[in-house]
Amino acid sequence: MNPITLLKNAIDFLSAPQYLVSMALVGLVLVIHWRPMWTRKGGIVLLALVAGGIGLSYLDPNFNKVATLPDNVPIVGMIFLVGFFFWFAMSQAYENDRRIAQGRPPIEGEDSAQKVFSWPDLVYVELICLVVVMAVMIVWSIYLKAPLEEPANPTDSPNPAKAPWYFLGLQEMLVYFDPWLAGVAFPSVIIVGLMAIPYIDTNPKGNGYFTFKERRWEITLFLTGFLVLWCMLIVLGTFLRGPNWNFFGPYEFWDINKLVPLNNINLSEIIWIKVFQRSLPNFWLFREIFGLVLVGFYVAVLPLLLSKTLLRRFFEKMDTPRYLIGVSLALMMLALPIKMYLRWIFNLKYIVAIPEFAFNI
Amino acid sequence: MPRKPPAEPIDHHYNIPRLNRSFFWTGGILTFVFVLMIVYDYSRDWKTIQRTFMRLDAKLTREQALAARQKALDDEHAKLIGELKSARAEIATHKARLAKLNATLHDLEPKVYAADQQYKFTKASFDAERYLYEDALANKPKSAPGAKRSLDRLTKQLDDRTLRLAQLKKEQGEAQAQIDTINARKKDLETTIEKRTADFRLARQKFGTLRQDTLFQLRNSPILDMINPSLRVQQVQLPDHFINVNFMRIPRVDRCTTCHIAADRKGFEDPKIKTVYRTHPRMHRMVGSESMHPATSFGCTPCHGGRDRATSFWSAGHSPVSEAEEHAWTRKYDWEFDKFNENPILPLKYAEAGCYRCHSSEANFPEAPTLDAGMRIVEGLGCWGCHRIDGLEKQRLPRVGPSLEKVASKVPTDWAKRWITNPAAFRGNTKMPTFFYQENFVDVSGPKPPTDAQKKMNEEGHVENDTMVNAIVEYLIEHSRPSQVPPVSGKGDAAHGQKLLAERGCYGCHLVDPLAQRDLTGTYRQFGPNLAGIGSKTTRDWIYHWISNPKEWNPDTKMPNLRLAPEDALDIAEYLATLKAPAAFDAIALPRTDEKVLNQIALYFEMSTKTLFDAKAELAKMDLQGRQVYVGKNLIAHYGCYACHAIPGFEDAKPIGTELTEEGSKAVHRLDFGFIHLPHTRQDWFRTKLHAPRIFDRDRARGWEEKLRMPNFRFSDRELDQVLTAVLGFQQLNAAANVVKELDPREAAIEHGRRIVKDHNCQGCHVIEGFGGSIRSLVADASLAPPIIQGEGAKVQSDWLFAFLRAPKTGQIRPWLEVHMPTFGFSDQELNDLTLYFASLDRSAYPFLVQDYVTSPASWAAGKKVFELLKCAQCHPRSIEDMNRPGVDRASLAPNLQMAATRLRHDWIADWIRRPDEWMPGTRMPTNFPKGDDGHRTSPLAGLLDAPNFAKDREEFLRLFGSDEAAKQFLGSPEAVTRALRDYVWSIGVNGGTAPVEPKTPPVQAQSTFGAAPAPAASGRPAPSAAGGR
Repeated sequence: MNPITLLKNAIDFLSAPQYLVSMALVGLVLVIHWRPMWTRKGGIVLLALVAGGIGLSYLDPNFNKVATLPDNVPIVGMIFLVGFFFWFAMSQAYENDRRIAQGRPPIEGEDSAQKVFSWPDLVYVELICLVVVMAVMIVWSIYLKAPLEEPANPTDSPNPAKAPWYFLGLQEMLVYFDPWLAGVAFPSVIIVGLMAIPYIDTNPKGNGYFTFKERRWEITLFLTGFLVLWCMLIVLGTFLRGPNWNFFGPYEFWDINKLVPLNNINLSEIIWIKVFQRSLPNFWLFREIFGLVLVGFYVAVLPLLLSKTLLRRFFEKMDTPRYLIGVSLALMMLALPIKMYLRWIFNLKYIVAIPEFAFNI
Repeated sequence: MPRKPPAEPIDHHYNIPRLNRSFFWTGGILTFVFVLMIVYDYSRDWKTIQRTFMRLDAKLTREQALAARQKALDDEHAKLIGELKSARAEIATHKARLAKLNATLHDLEPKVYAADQQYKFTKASFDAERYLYEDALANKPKSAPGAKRSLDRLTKQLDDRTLRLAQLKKEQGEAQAQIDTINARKKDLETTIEKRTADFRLARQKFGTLRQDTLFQLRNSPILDMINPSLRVQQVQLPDHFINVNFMRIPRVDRCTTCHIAADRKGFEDPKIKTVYRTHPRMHRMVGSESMHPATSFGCTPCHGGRDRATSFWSAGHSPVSEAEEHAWTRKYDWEFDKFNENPILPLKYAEAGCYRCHSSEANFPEAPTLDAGMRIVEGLGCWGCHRIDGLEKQRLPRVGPSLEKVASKVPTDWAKRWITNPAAFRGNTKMPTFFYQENFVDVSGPKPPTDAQKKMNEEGHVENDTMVNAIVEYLIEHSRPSQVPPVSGKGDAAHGQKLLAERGCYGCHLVDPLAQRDLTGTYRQFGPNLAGIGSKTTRDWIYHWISNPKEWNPDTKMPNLRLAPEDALDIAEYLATLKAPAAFDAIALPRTDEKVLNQIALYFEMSTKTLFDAKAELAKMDLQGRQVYVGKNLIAHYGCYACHAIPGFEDAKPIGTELTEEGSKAVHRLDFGFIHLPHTRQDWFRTKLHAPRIFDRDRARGWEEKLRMPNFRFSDRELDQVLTAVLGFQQLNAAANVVKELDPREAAIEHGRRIVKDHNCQGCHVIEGFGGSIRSLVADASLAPPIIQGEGAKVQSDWLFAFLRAPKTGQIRPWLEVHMPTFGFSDQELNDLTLYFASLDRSAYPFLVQDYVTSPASWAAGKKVFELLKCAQCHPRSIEDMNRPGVDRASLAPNLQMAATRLRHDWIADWIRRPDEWMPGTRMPTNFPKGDDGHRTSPLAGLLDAPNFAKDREEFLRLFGSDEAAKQFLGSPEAVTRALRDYVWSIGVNGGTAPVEPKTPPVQAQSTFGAAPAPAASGRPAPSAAGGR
């Protein structure tokens, strides 16, 4: 087989959600600790890899068809923009860590010693930025027309029906969670949780300057949520989800006939029927007792256990409410990859499934 | 407290001169981009088109103006100008007098003005004073006398002033009249010149408005064009037509005329003009303000489809007809496939699809030939049998195929198996589609080489089809109703039979041509089956019984009874039995049943209602034959054979196909394209489906039960275009009820009639409403062909027509015709519908007519005389005896006039005699009253009288009319002469042509029953029934 086709097939295979998420989770943890990546040279290599990879991919007709849609062009831009700021923050952080290790103040510390007027130093630069952004936006709007469609017809919905790009992460969650959780509960928790961060994380280190060494856990946790569970899911939803919300590799044709088996079962069925070889109990509480216990353990017992073990350092540093809220939020965030893996490995549909109350976890 | 300036200059974080430079450059770029934005926003294709059109319009207008000038400025014009000069010179001689008169007028003018003003003021005071007086009379009687006095004073004053004004005006008028007299000739000439040059001046004026001058450029320049541009988007709002987005209707707003400016304007028909600027090609039907579909209420997109509000070529949804056009458009107009447009414009060749949505209640579409042909095919091939189509369901069409209820006694089993295997091998033009051995069974990979697995599937598919064909035939034979075909003794004369087949009119519906290709639209002769090979299909005896009385074998058949004599029927049967199937048909290998496959199929059907165990047990009870019959029955249901054929056991079965009522509006994503790569449009999918109905199974690995079932109709490209036009026309209405064509009672009656005419193929023999008469091409002498049915409603009495259609009697009117009108066995309802149809076509009175017209003996006598004079009896027999008299050449006879009084309408007779050439062009009836130069009919009889040979006749007329003058007046009037002839002809049928008794009651007015009959020739209406149609 043609090596290019082989490479494309390999990439198609590896971009399936289970591999993509796994690689992203492991890769993120590894890469933030890999110093050469956050030097200027590393940045250039990274840029060259990403830009070259995407640029060459445009030669593939199937990739081209999806990536050049006026809807999707901004997402390509987002990859570069998020990538740049990620690299910038990390390289600054490493530089600062080096300086702090040498006993010098961080770069921002030197800057902030200096005082200048807001005009011209701030406002002028802002003005120029404004002008540039406007020019870019106008050119963009001239050459890429708004992708307007026919008047919406409720009986004739597009396939795939996609949320606006900024909600594609949430839409991806719908694959794994009950709509009530993925569509209502989690988004609310995300907003509240983001607002709560300054009140939970009272660690003054890193205020006003980039640092990694001093906030290893916090940064890793945040980047897992933001980069993997948010930005990457948006990219996945944009480029890799095709008709019928099926997964398609970046070089795969979006064939509307593609069928993927979706044979998912609930935890109660696994335990009662597969393990105990008995029929499901009629009473829901009895039927779902294992799932309920498991969820109860995860949300109630696990934070306490962690406070004694893995997170003991944090528990001691923070007061109890802060610790509990923070850990609960983190656990809720991690519930997404956990549920993903349960689905991929056990075909698990719901841990707790109580259709009697339309309540599923 | 003022802020202190910094003690020492503060360092800037940025290099300010560099920022200045950046700002300069970025500002420059933004300005450039801003200008670019305006340019892009301003430059719209439609503006260019409107400018170009203005130039074209200006060019044409200029040509018109020049032509008009040429026409206006001729010799006559020069003469008029010369006369005008001389008139002016003449006026110059009265210079002194004119000057004086003008001076008088000049003096009078201020005086009249002042007098008029005084009068008006006084009138106002008078009105006010009168009110005061009236008020005083009513409320203050004491002050009434005072008020009366001042009113009287004012009355007098008003009278004086009225008088003075009148005097002054009179003086003014007199002076003006004198001036006018002097100027009269000049003024007349000027008016004439003005009238003669009006066209030229109007065109010149219009040309002026079409100039793209500075003001035009300014009005339409960027930014300024927000005020009042002359280039603008044109739109028409169509509240009655809407886009249906479910739960909401968006009214259409058609902007097509923004570019298609001349669509509703005459004068741009020249095919050299680019399409976008051209007049709509069918202005008299569509778009034109005087047509029945004016653009102001029907717009464009309701019929053509497309995005109503679009103003660019691409977004409007123009659809290319061919790939070549698609490439050209892509190059020229940046056209690309628009997957979001759910309702693009129909490609031009399918444009007539737009008609059906509103006109589905009509039987024929003579104005839309492609759609008409398409509907004819859809009806004729029985598409509606499997696919419900609302418009056709309402028309209650008869089943397309022959009844299979008694098939066992009619056809041999082997023939049936070969026939189902490949009907086209038996008759190339058959309507029967091919169900088996289609590509999804025997060629699953399509044109590319099959894989080993696919090869195996193909083999299995072949065996499955073999088994299916056998099973179906076994069921049909086993469940065939018992019936006897009694043997016929004797032997017919095949050669005579062949002759009879042609003479009796069988070819109006049947071909005998083994090589014929299917054509359901160009000829009416493929209505019945092609008789080629019929001798292999059935026996001589069956044919004999069938043609002797088809309804006896099958009461529902459309085949009429030709009332054949037994010996004739035998001759025909003998001949037909000699027609054998082509060798290729007999060479088709008979299918072999594979018991294993049969069991699998049987098991599948059994399991639809039973569990595996029960199903197996049930099957075990059946023998091989039983299983075959069982499978056959289920396969007939699976493939929907009963949609076209009456089959025992399937009397109430439901159609199996997708409903097509709104197929033309079906969302494209609901069409399964399988693994076939096509442009995702409705027309591409339908066309591919119709061309190869099983193609979307290609490369699929499915069992027989999941495979597509639509049979292959072997459509030609032309037929595809036509059927596609019909299918694309099955659309959602998406319009208010009032725009739909609603038939009034007369139109409904006509549509009922047309439906019966279509279902019985009357047009195979007769020309009706200008269409049909296919058999005429086979008859050497047009006068020996079945009559052209034109103006029948005005011509014959409905009673007679009813009786004739019910039980035609041949040999009474035109005994020379070999072609016989068959007995169709119409129901009472159909007979009524048909007679009403013909009466409605000609707007004739229906159903009651006066029977006992009273004729004055004088008129009768005159008519008899003219009858003799014109030698009518030479052709027209007046009784059966006349016809059968020895030595009479029956072939040269005209209709028997004995029938006239019972058959024809009283008033029609006179009208017919007066203008037979208009009623039936090409008739053998001589035109005795030719049209004169003024278009009125003239009678040459008046002149004849003076000829010496007619002295005797003259005498007789003198006796009849009393005076030469009166006789000539009578003979010179075509109306009077034909009325008299009519009176005589009428008497032939009533009392054998004897003189009527003197009437006791006043005669019935001739007009009483002929109110809406075609007007005399003078009105310029030529063919009566052609105009009566629509």
